[in-house]
Amino acid sequence: MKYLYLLFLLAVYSCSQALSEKEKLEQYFGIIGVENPKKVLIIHLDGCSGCFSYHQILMKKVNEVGNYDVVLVTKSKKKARLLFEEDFNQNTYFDTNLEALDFGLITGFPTIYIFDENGDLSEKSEIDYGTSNLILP
Amino acid sequence: MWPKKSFLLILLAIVFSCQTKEDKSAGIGSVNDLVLADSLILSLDERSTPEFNYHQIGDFLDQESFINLNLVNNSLDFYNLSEGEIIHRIQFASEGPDRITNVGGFYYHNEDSIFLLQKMTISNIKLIDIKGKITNQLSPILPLDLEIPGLINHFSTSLSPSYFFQNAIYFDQGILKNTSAPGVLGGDFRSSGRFDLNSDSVFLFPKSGFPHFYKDKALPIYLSISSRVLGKNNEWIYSWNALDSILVYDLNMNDRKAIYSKSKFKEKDIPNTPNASLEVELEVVISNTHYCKVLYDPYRKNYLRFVQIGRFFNPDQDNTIMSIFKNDFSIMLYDENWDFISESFFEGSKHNFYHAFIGQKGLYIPRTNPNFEGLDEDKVVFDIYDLL
Repeated sequence: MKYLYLLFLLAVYSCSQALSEKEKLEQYFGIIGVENPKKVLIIHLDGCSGCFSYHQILMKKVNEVGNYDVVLVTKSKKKARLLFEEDFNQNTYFDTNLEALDFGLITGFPTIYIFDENGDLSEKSEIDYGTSNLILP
Repeated sequence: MWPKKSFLLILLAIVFSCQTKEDKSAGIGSVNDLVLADSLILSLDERSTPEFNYHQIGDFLDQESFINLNLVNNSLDFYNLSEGEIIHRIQFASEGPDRITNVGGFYYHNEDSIFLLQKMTISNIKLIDIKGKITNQLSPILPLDLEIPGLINHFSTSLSPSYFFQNAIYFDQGILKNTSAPGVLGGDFRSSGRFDLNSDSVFLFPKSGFPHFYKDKALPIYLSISSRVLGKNNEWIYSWNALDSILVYDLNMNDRKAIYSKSKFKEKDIPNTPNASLEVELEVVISNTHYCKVLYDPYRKNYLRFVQIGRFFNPDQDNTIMSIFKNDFSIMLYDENWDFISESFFEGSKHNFYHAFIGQKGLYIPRTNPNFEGLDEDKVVFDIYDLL
């Protein structure tokens, strides 16, 4: 009966989907197609229409700095194209299923993930549009 | 061999462990008293997307028109409501001496007078005509006793649009403090004001601000805001998100009356959450029934109040405030004397009531919910409901 109880508990928790942040990031970038990420900026375009002009400034800044992969989280590639059509490059990716929200990788603000040479997450930061200068890590 | 009951127990455990509580709570609902009478398909061209947070209904070329601030394209787009086709576009210049940037709202008065309002300020308002020509720029003298000198955190969305009326612009502003911090909602924040174009000055109404109910509370910002429209007899109608009553003020916000307007879907009081974490705030907002948009129907003299219905909060899936679009909602309908008519239930993940508006035909609610599987980049279906 003791084993039956243990089996019961195992069954209860068998569908738990609690992933570590590292596992979430690995799964997410695998889905999106970002290989060997070093610096990744994730921008959610469907959450704040009043933020579009700030997103545009941020994209230009990122392209100036370089070395960033950018994931645009939106159901609308049309919207992304209208906002950033001049700033797309081979490092631009789309998350049209809004997976970043399901994985809990963004809360609304643009978020930067930086990885060390071993592929481990070394820094996570959110972009605050309340500050006058956008400082990118 | 284990007994059959044991296998049944394990099977039940597996089944229920894989079932989200969201599934279990599905099925809430009631009869919808609003009658779906018609629909409109709005055609979106290559420069527009289903983003309708800043809109107004007005007459243009003698046609009832849906006017939308297109922030993706930096333009003001005019659609006729008879055909759903774009009939005019004012494209804002992004560079040069006539550039128009940082637009955060507008008010269409007529073809000669369109006010382009700025984000986070009541200054630098541009007055343009239907061709987009800037005819005037307005920057009023601000009061000296502002919370932050020189700053009025003006906003104008379809939830709380700014109005040009009797040669003044009536507006709301957002609080700049964290409303989850104790004491903030009890302060003397003045949320509403008037920019008098005759005297070129701004006056903040002393009796505006958080209702008395909020005074000893700390709430997430999403529950601390209000929706406000101009109603019958030039009265201001305020729907505060955490307040059961509707507040009705006269034009200059001297007299006030409260209309009890509790939703039948609100079963519990919203908890006080001082210094709450982001996750706790999300849980409070998503799991508690609260109020949102208010609309006035000038054609039939009705009022509508939209209610976001609380549901089970799933921390694994409800990671941002965007999850609120999964919530079901209801619409409370009142006549011109605030006599209750009905409250109608709508399932979540289909319509976006933040984009809803009143037209001659009735209530237009578009299927622009971000979770709607049929969301189309090139056309939007508006369901049109009869209003009595």
